[in-house]
Amino acid sequence: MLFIAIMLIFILIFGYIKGVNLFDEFVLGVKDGFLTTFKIAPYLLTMLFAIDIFRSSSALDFFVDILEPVANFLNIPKGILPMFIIKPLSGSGSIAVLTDICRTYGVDSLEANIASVMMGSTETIFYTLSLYFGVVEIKRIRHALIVSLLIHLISTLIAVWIIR
Amino acid sequence: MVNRFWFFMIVLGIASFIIRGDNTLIKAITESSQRSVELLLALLGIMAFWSGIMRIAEKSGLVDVLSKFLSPPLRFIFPGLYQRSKSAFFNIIMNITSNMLGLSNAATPFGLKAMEELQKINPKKDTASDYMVTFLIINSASLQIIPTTLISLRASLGSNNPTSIITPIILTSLISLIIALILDRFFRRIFK
Repeated sequence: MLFIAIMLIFILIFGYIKGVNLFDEFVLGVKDGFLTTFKIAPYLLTMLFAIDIFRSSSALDFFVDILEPVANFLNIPKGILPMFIIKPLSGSGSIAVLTDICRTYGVDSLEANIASVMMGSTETIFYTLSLYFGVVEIKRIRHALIVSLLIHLISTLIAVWIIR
Repeated sequence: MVNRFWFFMIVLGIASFIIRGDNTLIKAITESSQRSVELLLALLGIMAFWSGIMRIAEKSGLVDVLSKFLSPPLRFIFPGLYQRSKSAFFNIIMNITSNMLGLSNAATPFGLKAMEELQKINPKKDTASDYMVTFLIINSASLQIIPTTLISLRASLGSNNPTSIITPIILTSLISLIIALILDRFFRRIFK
């Protein structure tokens, strides 16, 4: 909490010293924020519809139960498994899954905290790799995918370990 | 991929309502839409605040200050790149700095430009160079100081302490970044 407060005051004072028109730029930023929210809103709703139907039909529990031995083996709570699967694939999807985990287990629960750390410390690997390599027409990506996926797993294990 | 995921979730979900003889499907959909729209409204406000702050950070040149600190470690991680392509090096720094500040909209153009510059000095045009792979692996480790969307989302969902996850995120990212760079060096020799 203190870190954020210090960060905020630093950004504001730094901007003021640098002669930025704080008020006008903040207004433009708010506009950006609105646009971002409007931009992700349709994706978020689309994913949340599917996830909510999937969960309330108890189909999600069925799949999570199947994967439970894997979770136990890796010593991670089974509630975060959906996050582990969706995060490399889709940014808006992982926001929706995180929302679902927060609602199911409580926003300050162990599961929600681990999923939040995963959200912040792992990347939408498949999207990033296909975009960046696609733009320069690279066909052989060598060890980029395998290391990225290993890092996804390792980050998840570290997140669980740190939160616990 | 996401398309298939979505299809399976929604079809299996509806099918399991039918199989279990559960007639609350429409109720579930209605509740889902109400909760989602409430969330979006809360998100709209708090996202506006953070975007305002980050816009000030962007305009004040904070990205440039931070990028100066990043230059020495990046010269170590990308040996010889600064001499071979200043432009690639610069775009990589800007991409990583923007990502650290959670300015992902700003980060992507720098990242794409960096890839184009790296391709110029790449001897085998259809194969990723060591620099490219390292750059993308650093992106995968995702180092973030202020995850604005995440904080906003947690606040919107009523968290008592939405920012409590920042320190764990920085720690997790740093440790996995170091492991990522070691794995990169190791796998580099296998995948020639």
